[in-house]
Amino acid sequence: MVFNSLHFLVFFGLITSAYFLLNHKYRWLLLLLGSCYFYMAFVPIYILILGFTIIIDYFAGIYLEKFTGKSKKIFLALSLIANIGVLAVFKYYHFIDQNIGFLSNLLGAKVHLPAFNILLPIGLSFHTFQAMSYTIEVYRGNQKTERNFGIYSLYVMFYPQLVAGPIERPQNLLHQFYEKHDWDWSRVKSGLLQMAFGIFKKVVIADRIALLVDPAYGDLSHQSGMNLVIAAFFYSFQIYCDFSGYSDVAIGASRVMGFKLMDNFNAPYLAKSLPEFWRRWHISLSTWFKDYVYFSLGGNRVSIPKWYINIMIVFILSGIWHGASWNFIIWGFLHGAFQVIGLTLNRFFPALAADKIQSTFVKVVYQIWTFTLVTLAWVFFRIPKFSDLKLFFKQISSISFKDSLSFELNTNEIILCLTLVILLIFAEKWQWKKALLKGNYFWLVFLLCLTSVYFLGVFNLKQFIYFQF
Amino acid sequence: MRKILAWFSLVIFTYVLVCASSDKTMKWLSQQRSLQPEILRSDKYTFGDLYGFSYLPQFRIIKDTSKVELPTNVVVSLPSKDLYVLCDSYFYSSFVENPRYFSGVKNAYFTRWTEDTLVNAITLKASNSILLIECVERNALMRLKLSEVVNRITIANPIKKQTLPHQNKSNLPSLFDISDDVKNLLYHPTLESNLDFALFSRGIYRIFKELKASLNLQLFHRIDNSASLSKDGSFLYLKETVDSNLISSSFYAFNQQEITDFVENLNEINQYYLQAGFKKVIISIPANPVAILQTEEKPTNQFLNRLKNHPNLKVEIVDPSDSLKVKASQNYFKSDSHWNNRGAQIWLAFLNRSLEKS
Repeated sequence: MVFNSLHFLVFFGLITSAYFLLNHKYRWLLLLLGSCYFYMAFVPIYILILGFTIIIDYFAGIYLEKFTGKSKKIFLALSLIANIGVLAVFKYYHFIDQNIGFLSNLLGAKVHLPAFNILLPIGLSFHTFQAMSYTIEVYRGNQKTERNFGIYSLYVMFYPQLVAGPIERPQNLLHQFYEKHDWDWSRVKSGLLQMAFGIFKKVVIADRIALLVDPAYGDLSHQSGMNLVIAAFFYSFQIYCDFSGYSDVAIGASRVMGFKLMDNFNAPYLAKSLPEFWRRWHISLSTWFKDYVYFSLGGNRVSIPKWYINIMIVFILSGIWHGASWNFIIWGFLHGAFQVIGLTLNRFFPALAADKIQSTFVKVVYQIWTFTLVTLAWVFFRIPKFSDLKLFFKQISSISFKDSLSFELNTNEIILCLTLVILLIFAEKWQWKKALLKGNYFWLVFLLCLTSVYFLGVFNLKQFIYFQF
Repeated sequence: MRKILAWFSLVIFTYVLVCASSDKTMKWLSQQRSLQPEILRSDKYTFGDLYGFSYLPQFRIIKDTSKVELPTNVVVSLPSKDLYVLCDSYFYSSFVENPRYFSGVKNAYFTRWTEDTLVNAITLKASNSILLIECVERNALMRLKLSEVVNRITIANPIKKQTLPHQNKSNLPSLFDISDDVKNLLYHPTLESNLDFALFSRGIYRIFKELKASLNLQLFHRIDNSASLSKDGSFLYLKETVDSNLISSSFYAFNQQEITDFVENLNEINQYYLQAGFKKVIISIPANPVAILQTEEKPTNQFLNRLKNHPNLKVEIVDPSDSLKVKASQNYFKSDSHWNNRGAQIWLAFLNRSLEKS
């Protein structure tokens, strides 16, 4: 079930009204059943995979509390192996097979893993990481073991963030299922507004931009260099509006029912450096890697070369998390490399470090530079085939201002998209959203949002880009 | 008050979801809607199916739903044939009501492609039974295969048992089959459009829908994804019949092998049903309206001509395309994907000529 569908509208209305009518004692059950229904709208059988993860981590949590020392470590390792194993089988099997095949071919042999045809379960990386954060936190003693199997299942399956995050931590979410959330109109208004913003970003901006980006990336050989530069520029906003739109709906829908999910985005394209970008983009994932991988490797409290290696490891893992394909690994590598280069430059020219800059003009130059690097990296994220990447950069290398421009969007649509993108940047710069979410002009803003969605939205039930991860 | 509101929304959302999840309730709902005053009545099909997609106000033309007139020049004396028909919506419901539309036909039996229940096995009563298989061009490649036809027309007393292609599948359902069954049980395949009908298909919303459609056409030169506006702006078409990337389109570039394979499929159907006891099998593939109206300023793929002229073809194809092209704009609705009564009558005349030869 996608958020930009009538099915979701009806589902959300039904679950939310039932939620507030029901005795607090049974609300978790309603949410759990609703989440199962929500997830099974994709491929019902995959709920068994979720069930497997849930059972493993539920019992791992219990044993982690019971044991200490080496045994405790073994239970954590078993739980992590089971979770990563599920990812390896369902997400990386073909990738591993392809690479084994390629390498064995180089050595003159033909080695392949046994054939295993399966579609990637939707949102697998998201709920697996959320489940893993539970066992790690129980192991570290930051979270008490959850004994109620239903509540634990709901922690992994809570429908608003089940398929594309935010990836929650047990300390933030689990206790909320025990708290009684009464109807609070100001909170409901704020939640509904955030949902409306999210849908607006998805169907008015992201899906309209997709009408330009998808055909351009789908037919690289017939695009001029200038066409591709513009498509790459717009893709940065497509993926941002698509993903942050999803997060907004997830956070808003949860807030309506009284749950507080963590923020996932904070004006990422206003970042003045790559490290700042990663503090603002997909916050729930970057903090996950920071908390569970980067710090475990020693973070920056190690020698400089080791620190740089830690950064590269985290970003390459982040690339692998996104998809079982070399282009994602390169994307992660690029981000890591940009950061390492930036840190090295900061060591030699400390006055030029982004956080030391005072001049507004230079700040804007840094923002544009950061955005350009991020956009360049998105090219690798968007194009899975090496041959297509080569073609992309070949076309770009012959760029000229005389290039003819031809897009699947007409001039009015391009003007609309540009206007909305500029508005979005200003709205984020001056934090209009935060002010509006307080609900002072609720009806005006809410109706304006819905009217724009209705009249200017693209309704083709296009899935959210991050569902594939 | 808050509780009343919550109960009210719970009841409404449950009602809508339940209605949209079942064909029976959707049928009931659409019957109920048709009895209501205009502002509450559904306008999905009143002005043609393509208006119902696009909501362009210039195409809000009331669709003529009068019955097709009975032909005057058909052979009615001593009707002796039994006609079995597998058809789609191009075969008007008035034809279903009266066998007198068809030359020399005593009894006529009908099955639609869209019937989701298997039709009872047919026991052929007369030796001069004729099978008519009608399917519009856009669905022809998908539907005109022996396995698809046999799913709808099963013969109880075939003269010779035939082995159907692709019958060697295991009887045990796989986990994915079960998963699909669960999905169909929980989520109706057309749930989204059913919900759209249940929630918004009322005359009162038309003004907003038309405003949106006009705005999108004027500003962005776009109409609904399922429809396409003809180059001269006078007709609406189904997008799938115009988009040259799709095999349902009249502009899809078929290679000769694809045509040959399709001809083999038709021959296979013909041979199977002749051996099962039919005297004759007639295939009718109404061309997509865009191929007849020729408004798109580009050549079509000549699908039907290439089919009819194929040296391997062994089955009769009823194709009134040339006659339909004469004053073509009078033979089709402007805001519906079908021919109008005039077009249907031209087709019927061709069919009757074929029946008379049988």
